[in-house]
Amino acid sequence: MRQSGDNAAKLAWTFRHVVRRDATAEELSVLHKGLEKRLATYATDKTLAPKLLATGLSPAPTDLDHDQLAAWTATTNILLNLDETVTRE
Amino acid sequence: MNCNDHQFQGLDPATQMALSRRTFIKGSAGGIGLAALGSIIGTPAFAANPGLGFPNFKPKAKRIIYLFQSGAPSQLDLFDPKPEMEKMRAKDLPESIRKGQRLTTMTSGQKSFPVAPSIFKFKQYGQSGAWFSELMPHMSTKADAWCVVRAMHTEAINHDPAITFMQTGSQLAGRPSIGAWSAYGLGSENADLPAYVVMTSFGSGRPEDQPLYDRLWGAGFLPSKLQGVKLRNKGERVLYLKDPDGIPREVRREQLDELAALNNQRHDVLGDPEIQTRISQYEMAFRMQTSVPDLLDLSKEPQHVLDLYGPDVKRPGSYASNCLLARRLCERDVRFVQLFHMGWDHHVGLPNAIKGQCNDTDQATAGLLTDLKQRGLLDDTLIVWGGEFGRTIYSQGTLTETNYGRDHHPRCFTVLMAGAGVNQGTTFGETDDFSYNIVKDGVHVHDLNATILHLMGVDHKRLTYRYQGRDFRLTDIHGDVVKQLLA
Repeated sequence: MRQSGDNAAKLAWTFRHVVRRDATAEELSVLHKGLEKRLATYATDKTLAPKLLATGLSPAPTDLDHDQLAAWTATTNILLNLDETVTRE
Repeated sequence: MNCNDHQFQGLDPATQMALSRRTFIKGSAGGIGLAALGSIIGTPAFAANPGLGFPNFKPKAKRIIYLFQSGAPSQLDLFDPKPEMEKMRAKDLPESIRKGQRLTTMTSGQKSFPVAPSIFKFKQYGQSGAWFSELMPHMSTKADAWCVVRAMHTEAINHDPAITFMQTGSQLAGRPSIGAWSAYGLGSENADLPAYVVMTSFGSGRPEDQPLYDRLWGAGFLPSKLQGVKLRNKGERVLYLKDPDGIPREVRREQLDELAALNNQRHDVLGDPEIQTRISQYEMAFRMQTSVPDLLDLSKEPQHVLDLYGPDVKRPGSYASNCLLARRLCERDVRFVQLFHMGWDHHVGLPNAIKGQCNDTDQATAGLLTDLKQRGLLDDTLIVWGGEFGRTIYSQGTLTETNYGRDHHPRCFTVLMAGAGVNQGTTFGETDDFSYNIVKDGVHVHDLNATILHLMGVDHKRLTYRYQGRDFRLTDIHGDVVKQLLA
């Protein structure tokens, strides 16, 4: 979230760091649409983000918007579970 | 797009069709391919393999509960009485019987092989007059339901190769297991649960033995979505059924849709069938989040039903509770349910240890038969009860009036069958006076597996899969359906 650029650029950066290759336009499009949906979901229901961010060992950063952080968490979770991420071919 | 392209080899025809259609759409209309996703994702995990043509004939058994007794129960103390052995007590096993046959290294160095008659009393039960020892007060009441296969034999002499042989038709690990073969040929009747479910339990006879390996219910070279899914026997049966806090169900659905979209895009590039497995297993896990809590909710089981299985049914992860779950899985039309009860390996201290094992399993096994019958499920469910080999008439270690041990014995052992299509109330096969060699009507492991597949409507010679240039079968190039075991 602290990377420069718009959400598409941030997603591209994240993809590259998780999968170690550049995302295709198709892949970025899927992720981008999903991220937008979740940004809306977590902005609408303010009770969700605190629950999600309470999970895990490291405390949630205080300088980031927590609703947005939750939406990004739920999106990067997808990248971490890609077949390509969990399998070395 | 030709389905025989090399990148599609190893896929079942349904997936090949879905794939080629998908690749065609993507190739011809660049990008619209995504719209075709639903046609793959929306399909039940492996609802059918229409191109394979199974079943080959009308099946007697729609499903099977295979009660594997891991470690090898002693046929001599349970099903195969040899009262005349009392006269031979402590005498050396005659060479005319042993015939120099292979022994394990656990007893091959013994100076003598003293005959150890069973100290347990046998009686005949039911109309059929089947023999059971006093160790099985409940299973013996079902004498007329069992088909006692008394002259089973195997090629393996140690546990893991022997269980692997029973499960896959090969002593060497790597072939698909019988449950995976069944799921491959016959597909699933319930899209919300795996077609092949496995449950393990520890025995009180030898609580620490023997280890089981997940590959025993593996898919080998078949698509790995066909492998058995094991329910845990400690703690939660299935981990992480609940979505994490702060991830509503709709978000979980979105995540899986996007995961599938991205994984499919990668699959278009690589053509790796294991990517399809991952997609379908993520979807199966999503459906299991709903189906498994329903499966495991025993709160509506009435006391009189729980009582059938015995007091152990209340202890999660016990053989008895696994039997109850097996019935519930059957009600949900899960194709292949397999239990593995450990602890039957009684090299020393057999009399005491086998009591523990029978205490674990006897009532629950009989209760399962009763429960299935009351619900009309026994008519189309096949039950198999048995281990990987038998045990020796001679004692391993010191023989006393009350104590003995028995080593592994592959040359004869007993397996029980019941339920759909089985010739109930019969005993088939004979062993010699020492229960050492087969005298009549031997049934090899390949024969048993061929017969099991036959009861499920599958010709074991036609259930093949091409891998590395060769067509493989569960029964390799062997196996005959044993007609005498069929109703």
